Parts: sequence; C-alpha cells; structure tokens
Amino acid sequence: MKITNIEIKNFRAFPKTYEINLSKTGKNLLVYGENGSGKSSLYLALKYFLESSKDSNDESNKRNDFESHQNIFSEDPGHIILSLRADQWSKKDTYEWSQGVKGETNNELITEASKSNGFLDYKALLETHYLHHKNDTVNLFDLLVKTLMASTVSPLTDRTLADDWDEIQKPYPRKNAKNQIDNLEKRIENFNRELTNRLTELRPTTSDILRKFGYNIDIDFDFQGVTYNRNDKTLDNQQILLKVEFFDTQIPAHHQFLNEAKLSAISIAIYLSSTWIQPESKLKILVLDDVLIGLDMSNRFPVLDILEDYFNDYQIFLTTYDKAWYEIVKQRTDQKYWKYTEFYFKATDKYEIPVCSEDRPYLEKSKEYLNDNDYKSSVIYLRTAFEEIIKRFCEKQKLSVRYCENPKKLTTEDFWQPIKTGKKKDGSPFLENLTINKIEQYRTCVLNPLSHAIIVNVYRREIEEAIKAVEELESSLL
Amino acid sequence: MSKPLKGFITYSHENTAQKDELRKRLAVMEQQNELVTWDDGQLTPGDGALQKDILKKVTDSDLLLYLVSAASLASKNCNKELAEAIKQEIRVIPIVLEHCDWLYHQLSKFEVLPDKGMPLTQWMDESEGWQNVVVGIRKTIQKMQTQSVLQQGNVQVMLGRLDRAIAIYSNIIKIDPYHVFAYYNRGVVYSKKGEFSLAIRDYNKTIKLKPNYAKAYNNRGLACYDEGKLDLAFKDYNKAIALDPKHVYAYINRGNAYHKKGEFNSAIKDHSKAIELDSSDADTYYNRGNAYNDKGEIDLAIIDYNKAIHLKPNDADIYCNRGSAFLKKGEINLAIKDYNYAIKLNPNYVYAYNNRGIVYQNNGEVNKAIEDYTTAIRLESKHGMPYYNRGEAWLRLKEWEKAKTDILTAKKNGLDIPARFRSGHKNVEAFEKRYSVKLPEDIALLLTERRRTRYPKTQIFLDADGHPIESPNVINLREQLRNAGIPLGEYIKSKSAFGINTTPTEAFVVNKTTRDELIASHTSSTEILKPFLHGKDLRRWYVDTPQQWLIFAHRGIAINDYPTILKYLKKYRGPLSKRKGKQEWYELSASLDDAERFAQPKLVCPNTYNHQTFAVDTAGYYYGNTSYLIPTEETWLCGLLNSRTVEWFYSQVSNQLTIDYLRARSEYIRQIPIPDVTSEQKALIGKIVDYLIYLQHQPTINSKDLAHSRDHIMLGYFERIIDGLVYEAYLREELHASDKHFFQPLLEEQLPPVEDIESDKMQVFRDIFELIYEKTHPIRRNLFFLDSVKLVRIIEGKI
Repeated sequence: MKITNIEIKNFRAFPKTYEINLSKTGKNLLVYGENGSGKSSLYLALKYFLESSKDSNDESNKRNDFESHQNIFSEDPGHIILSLRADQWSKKDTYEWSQGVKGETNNELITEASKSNGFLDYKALLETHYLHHKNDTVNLFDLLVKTLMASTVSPLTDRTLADDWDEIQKPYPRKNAKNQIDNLEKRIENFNRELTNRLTELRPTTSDILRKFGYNIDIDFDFQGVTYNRNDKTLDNQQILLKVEFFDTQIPAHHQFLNEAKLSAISIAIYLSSTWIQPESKLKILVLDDVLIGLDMSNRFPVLDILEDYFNDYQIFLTTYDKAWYEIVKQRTDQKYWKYTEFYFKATDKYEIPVCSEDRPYLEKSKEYLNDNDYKSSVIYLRTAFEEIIKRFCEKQKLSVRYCENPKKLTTEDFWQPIKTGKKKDGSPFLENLTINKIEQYRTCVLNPLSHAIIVNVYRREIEEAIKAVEELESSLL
Repeated sequence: MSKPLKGFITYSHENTAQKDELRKRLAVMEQQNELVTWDDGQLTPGDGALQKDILKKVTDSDLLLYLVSAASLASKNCNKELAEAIKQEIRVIPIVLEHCDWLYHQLSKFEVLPDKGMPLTQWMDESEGWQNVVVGIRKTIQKMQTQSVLQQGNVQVMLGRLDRAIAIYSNIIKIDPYHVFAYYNRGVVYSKKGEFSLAIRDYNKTIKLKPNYAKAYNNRGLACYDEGKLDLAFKDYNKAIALDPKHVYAYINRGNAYHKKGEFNSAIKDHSKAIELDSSDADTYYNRGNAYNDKGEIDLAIIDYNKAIHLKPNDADIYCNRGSAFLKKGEINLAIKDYNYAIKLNPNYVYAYNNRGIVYQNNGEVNKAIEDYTTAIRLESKHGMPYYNRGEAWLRLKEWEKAKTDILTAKKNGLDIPARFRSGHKNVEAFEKRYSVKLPEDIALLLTERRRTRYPKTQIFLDADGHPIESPNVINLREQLRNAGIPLGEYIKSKSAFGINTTPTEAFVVNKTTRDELIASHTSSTEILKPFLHGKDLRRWYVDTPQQWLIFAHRGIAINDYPTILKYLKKYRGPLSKRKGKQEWYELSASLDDAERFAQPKLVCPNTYNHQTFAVDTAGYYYGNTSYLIPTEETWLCGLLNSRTVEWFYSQVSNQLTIDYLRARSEYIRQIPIPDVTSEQKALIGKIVDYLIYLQHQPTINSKDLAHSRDHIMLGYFERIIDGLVYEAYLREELHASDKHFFQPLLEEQLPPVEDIESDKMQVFRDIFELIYEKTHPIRRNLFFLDSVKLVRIIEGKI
C-alpha cells in the first residue's frame, strides 16, 4: 500500500493548494527546501493526517482538529487529501482530513499506519547536542523515552512509551495514600520492565545498523530502572547510560569517540531499529525531516543503504535543506522509485514569490544563487525580477494593458507587448532594439515561466547573460 | 468565498459618467474579490470589437447591471444585451438613473434598485441613493454565492458523498444562520445517513425559520417514523396535510404509519386519497397494495400491484410483493414467476431470493430453496430471516449441525427464533410429523425456548433532557455482548456464591504455629483445620498456598471429638457468643454442605478489585466471605473472566465502588454472557490459562530484578493473547471483517499442554513466547493492530 498523491490546501505553511503526485506506483519522495519553505509542514501534514484517525474523546486534544492547523493567511478552509493504492494496478482510495470531513481517516488502514513510529524530525536530533557528558557517560533517557522511542507501542499496555511515561508523571499521590502509591510503584515497575525489554530487543539491530555506518562497535544500555522517592515525591534514576564496546580496540575515553556526529548516528540507529522491531502495517511510511543534517556527509551515504536494507518495502519521505546533499541523493537514487521536489520560499503553484517576504531586490538574490551554483533558484528570482520591472513600468507609464477579469491571469506577455511597441511622448521607442532582442532571446528559455521544467539545459553563461539583459532593461526603463 | 462573480454593465454612452460612478462605488466589492465588472468602455477604441463579442461577454457574466435611463431604454444595443441576458437566464438588476418609462418595459419584472425604483436623481443626497444601490447589489451577490454553494452541496448528495455535502451545508449555515434550505437539505442528508435525531434537529430549525413549510413537516414526520416515534410522526403528517392538502407524499407516509400501527383501514383510506391526488404515481398503488396485502385482502392487493406494475414496469419491489401475494393465495407458479422477474430486475435483491426460497421449500424443492437462501445470505449477512429459513431447510435434510449454526446466526442477527418458529408451525411435534423427521433435543429447545428476560436491562442514565448520557456506541456494545452468549448464571449448573462468614476471624482463623500446636496436642484437629484464604490474598490465575487455616467448626459438629479445638475456642467465648444466629457459640454459621462447595474445583475472586482477578483453585481451599466462588471445572472460564472484554462489560453493568475498584456481586457476575465457542476453542483458552497458572508462580516472573523483565513481558503477552481470543469469541464478525484472527493461527501452532512439557518447562515457554512474539507472527501482528477495530477501542477506553 503506497501513497500515490498528496494534496495539501491551506495547511500551516501551505497557502492555496499544493499537490505532489507520486505516480501510480507510489514513489519515494525527496524534498529540497529552504527553512520556512514548507518542508516541515509536509512532515506534519503526513503525521497529523495519520494521527487524526485516532478518534479521541479528550476535549483538550486539539491536535486532531484540522482547524488548529489552518493556514493563518487564508480563510478558505483547508484540507489534506491522500490517495492510496495497494499497487499500481489496483483501485485508488482517497481519504480527506479537513475541518468539515472528520471521520474519513478513522479507518482501519490509517489507524494501523498511525502506530508505526514512522516520523522523525531534525529537532529530535538537536537534542543529542545537549546530552550530558558526565564522567565520560551519556544519559539517553530523555532522548529515548520522549523522542526516539516515544511512539513505539507496548505489547502489554498497547499504549505508546510516551503515554506510559506521562501516566506515571501524573500528579504524585499524597504521602498517606498507600494504595495509590502502591499503584504508582506498580506502574513504574512495569514501565521499567517494558523499557528494559525494549532496549534488549533493539540492541542487536542498532549495532547492526551502526556497523553499516562504519562503526565497528557494539552498544549497550545501562538502565537500572526509575524509582519513586516517597519522601521527596520525585522520580529518581531517570537514566539510561550508553555503553559502547569496541570490537577491535579498546578506547576508554568515550567522550572522544562520542562526538556529535557519532551521537547523531547512534540516535538514528536507535530510532530506525525501534521502528523496525515493531509489526508492520499495510501502509508503511517513513518520514525523515532533515534528520541527516547532523551527520557528516560520509555518514549520510550509509543511511541510504540502511533504508534500502531495512525499509525496502516502506515508502520513504526525505527532506533536506542541504542543496548539495539533495543533488547527491538525486544522483544516487533511481528516479523510477523516487520523485524529487523542491520547495521555495512561499513558492506556490506558479512560483510566485510574494514581495513581502523579500528584503533584497530579486536581481541581487538571483546573482547570489548563481554564485552558489543554485541555477534553479537563480532563474526563478531572475524571472520574478523581470516581471516586476515590466509591471512597475506599465503602471508608472499608465500603459493600457489587455483587459483580464482576473488580474492574476495577466501574463508577462500582456505587460511586455505594450512596452516593446510603445513610444515615449517624444515619439522615440521605450527600448532600443538591441535590448528588446536580448530580452526576447532569453524569454524563450531562461525567463520562460516554465523554465523550471527545462532547467537542466540551462547553462551558467546563459543565466549570466540573461541577468545582464535584465539589468540593462531595468536601467533603460526605471 | 469562492470566485468573484462577473458583472456586465449595460448603459447608454450618454450615461458614461454614471457608469463610472457605479464602478467607483463597486470598488470595495472588487477589492474583496466578490465581484468584477466589465463594460464596453474597457475596449480599446479601434480594437474593432464586434457586437457579437460584446454579447459573448454578456453570456459569460453572472449578472447584468442595467443603468436605466430614457437613453438606454431607447438604445438598440442596450436592449440586445438585456435580451441576451434574459435568454441566458442571467440575473438582471436594473438601476434606475432618472424618471423614464421603465415601468412599461420588460425591465419592470426584475427587482430594481434603488429600492422601490426611486430614481437616483430624486435622492436628496445622491450618494445615499448610490449607497442604496451598492447595498442591494451586495445582498444579491451574497444570495447568489450561497445559492451556488448550496448547489455544490446538492451535487455532492447526488454523487453520494454525504459527509462532504453535510460539510458544505454546515458551512453555509455558519455564514448565514438563517439559510432555510441549508438546514432543510442537511436534514435530508442526515435522514439519508440514518442519523434521524440530527435530521429532526435540522427540520426543527427549518420549521422555525419557515413555519408553513409542508415539506419540512412531512420530512420530519418521516424521520420520526424511522426513529420509531410514531406519535410525533402522525402529528407532523397531519400538519403537513393541513398546510398542503394536496401533498401526496404526506398521505402516503401517514398511510404507511397507520400500516405500521396495524390500522389497515386508515392506511388504505390515506393511500386512496394519495391515488385520488396523483393516479399516475406507481408508489401510491404500491403502498395501498401493501396495506391490502397485510390486511389479508389479497385480491385487492394484487389489483393494486398490477396497476403499479403498469405504471412502473421495472420496479423489482412491486414484483416481489405481488409474488408474496400470489404465494398467500397458493399460486406457486405465479409467485415464482414474479420473484424470478424481480431478481432479473435486481440481481442483488435479498428479499426476492429469500421469498423464492420459501416458495421452493413449501413446494418440497428443498435444495433449490437452500440455494436461494445461500444467495440471500451472500448478499446480506446481517439479516436473520434467510439464515433461519436455511436452518429450517437443513432440518428437513437432517443436517443438524448446519441447521444449528444457521439458526444460531439468525438469533444473533436479532431474529426472535421461537416466535418465528411458531408462526410457521404449531409445535415441534407438528413440525416433526409434517416433515417426518425427529429433531435432536438441543435444536428443539433452540426453536421453542423463549429466553426469560430475567435480568433487568442495564439502567440507562438520562440527562435533564431525557437523552442517554452514555454514547450510543457504549450502550449498543453492551447489548451486543449481552446477546453474544448465555448468562454465566445459566451456564454454570451449580450455584456460585461468596465464601463463608468467619467472624470473629481471630478465633476461627489460625496461623501455622497455632495450627501445628493444635494438631500436636490432638491429632483429630487435622480433620477440621482447613487451608484458608482471604479475598485480599488472591491474585490473577493462580492461588498461592495458604499460610492460614480455618477451624471449620460447621453447624452440628460433634465438638467433643475435637477437645483441643474446643479448648482453644473457649478463649474467644466472649466475642463468639455475641454473634447473632442459631449456631452454637463454638460453631461457624456454615454447614457441612459448604465443605462440599469448597472441595470441588472452582474459580475464585476477591470481592473488591481494580482488575478482573479470577484464579483457578483445584486444591479445595476454604474461603471467607471476602471471596466469590464459581464452582466449575472449566478453566477456560478463568481466561474469559479475566479478559478485558468481561472487565469492561462488568464495569458497565455493575456499580463501581470508586473510580478504580469494582465489587464482586452475585447478581452482576451471573449476568456475564458466556459466548458460544467450540470445545476446541475452549480447550485452547484453557491451555493458555494453564500456562499462566504455571508462569504466575515462577520466581522470575514477578521478580523486581530487571534482568528477568522479559519473563514478565511473557506473562503479560500470554494474558494479552487471552484478550485477543476472547475478543474473537465475542466479536467474531467485527474482528474477522478486519482480518484479525487469533484462534486459527494459535491452533495451528499446536501448543503443548503444560503437563506434556517434560524437560525445562520455563525454557519451553520462553521458546514458545519468542516464536509467537516474532514481529511477523499473525498473533503479534493482530494483537498489535487490534485497536483498529472500533469496538475494541471502546472496550480499551481509547474512544
């Protein structure tokens, strides 16, 4: 069972409607996007979509209400619509989650998928930076319980580890309430056993995965069990110490070995193995939002192999803000199984970039991106600059522009034509023929609104020339 | 809202200034994206725009704003544009600029602006006049917008997307809380969805907003009828008829309501009235036919059906009912012919198959009948009738097992079996004689025994408005579980009850030291010193070896045979004598019969607990009155009683002591339904219970040492398996519908019984556990995803 189409409308960072087609086979998705471009909103869209299947009578649990995720700039009610197919030959099923349609995701397939622990975002891994290094030891308790394994499900209580932990942390009983204290301690006892068991289960897989990272180590966890301190009413021993055993050599100084990159790798390994040891639902998705960012480039390649080895029948959603990494993954993966998408600042269906979100002139941005070798962004900004210049000129000169009921439907051509043919009051043309010719030349490729699709054929020199032409245009017109 | 509407301005060029004024005043609406306007002034002169292009623009717009002046009335072009708008049914708003002869122009049939056609030139303050125009246009636009949204809703209804339609109507109501038709339409959709109370609420609102709307009354009546509130339905139908005496459907509906009440004459009267009003509607004849049919006037019924068929020759329902009328007349061949035709028209027609089956069966063609019932069941497995009928057919073929399964399924689907049986046969003997068979005893019982409604239905708590506080989900599930089996009180042959009263306990219950002393001084003491447990000593599954003994001085004991005991009890003579009752001071209130009760195998549980805590006791221990005893050898019942399903059911029917604790009470425990499972399935549950009993008294299982935590997980996992099995026993269809099986995959594992495991038992259990805990094992998978079944979520407190 794979997701074949995602339609997101007015959800969080997505204004209007955004559609991602993953083809009938349900390809994996690789997303490049700058911060704030909606990557994380895509992550949350998928996550909350699955979670919305859990009908809850808990009034305070508003996360399941679409309303709380409505895009704040848009009053038009939004939605998330996913299409699923068992395989490319089967029928498409479509599920909607929105303000008005609530029950549709309350469906076996989606409820089961929501138990999968398939979501990890970069914030989780930032926490590795704050881990205490005391006496050469690392305490993973919070990271494991609250993040990496938080949504893994206990085989006994059938609740997530995070829920079991929250239950324990409810207001502690009064000192003389013996029964309640007994119950609490029983719960803690079971939590300890449950966690110990889980750590034992995931240890072999974690070590396996780490070996694929190229670390020939065996890791173990030292967990003595949380205890309740009746006098102080505190939960003591919230401690899971990471023990690293080296096969080849004994390196006693852990802190030298356990730098942030390695801790990131270990965290990812723990997360992936805790997901892997659980039973699999029919709809298997793994969404990793920027999580590889903490890894060295050399450690990122193995992740692709690990995903292939362990999560071969999963549908993978990878997002990154690292352009270089994005290009590399693109190179290394097969487009038969992968779809590649790029998100830009507030980029919507037609790559319109609202002026308000920009603080520098488009032309400058365009040049900047060219210097970064990001041709695609450069071209988008260049085209926007071009459009802005001719629109401003038309307005200033009060040139009559073709009537169109919807001003948004006006094309560049509608503005360009009057400028091209128009004359100043003294009868001379607005533009010299040479300038017009240059612009015309680049309008067919670089400045074409559809340039995005054919970008592969654009060469650096062409963009440079196009920038020059637009600069020339700007100086003649404005 | 959605797309802006397109407005075309028709004006005479003499009024260009006013046209520009209007556009200026509409600017706000344009900015808010509600309206865009166009007029021919936007054409660049010299474009050579043709008349037909301008007319195309008119065709393209949503409304035409006509600036009325003497000049425009005279203009050819203006009138062409207006004609085009009228032809295309485009909304026209005339805006009267000055006094002129518009009242005699076709414009007069439209609602004009400013209000009452007061020409703009006549306003004291002309801007006030313009504002009046703008407000009028805005109102019109808003109406048109909701109208188009309403249309979208109606389209969704036609496409069968009821939830989306409801969302759309609700949205309209949010914007315009007085939109009668949004309420009305939503009511209709709710009715379609079977959510009658919501529908009624919407009709209430409709009626409030539009008090004389006969259709709303009729629909509300229908919703009440469907909810079973006949009285209210009659009231509404009467009102609908009073408001609209020609409302055919109100008569038909009232007729059907009379029909349901059994008042056939009134029903026929109403249907006749409906026919009088509209004799071209097949439904009117069809419904009267049904009334005649049920009244027993078969010939009249057939005449009506014939007329209905004449009017609507392809309606399977009518053929099916005429078939049943023929059947009543004994016209077997005609009946079969009608059913055949009904099936031809609708190959998925459950009733037609079922009824044709009955005809075949009456005709002695049992195999053909079975084939038809089977088709009916395949098409719709929730009905009771086809199952019952097939069951009866099997009986005639002496296929007892098949018959029993079918009849039980019919019962489960809600059919009143004894009533059904008696409507066809006088009694079992008559049936046996007619078909020359001899029914097995259990089947005969099944067909005739009417279950006494011995137990009061669970109290349903109502709120101030008389609505149940609990969600219907909970109430329905409770009743579903109750109907899934026979009450424990009937299932267990011997009586279950509490242990015995041992007060004063300090006298009758002794510890090991005292016991040893009592035996040492006189060996006879052994006979009446019994291993004894309090309720608080009990755990799930397994009873610990008692550390206390009861002096079982039953009523009528020859106390002098036990001198040491007598001497010991004398120490407590004071408190002993203060007791009420007829026993001697040294006697318990228990009799010798109680000894028998304790000696037999039994299930025991404490009188208060926060989770179901039943244990199996085969050692014949004695219990005080803080324990509840169920005498039985069936250990699988212990699994059933400790399951989450029973815990949920019990907490639902019994009174909860506090939030956490439950109290064992005989009358409630005896209500617990015991589901109908095969002996193989019972044995399987029993086997797992035996595992749990064994595991529960292994030291590593409940050890606090985290090194043994996996053993504890194993215990919990086996308990969870029992939950799974019990869910399947109670909610078989629901679980199977979502492909969750427990019995089958576990039976296939052929787990060894505890007593057959010879070597290291613990190791064998660990191996079994690892095998079925493997993440791809169906048991693990199905347990993991069990809560995707809605009813399970209710039981597990996740909804």
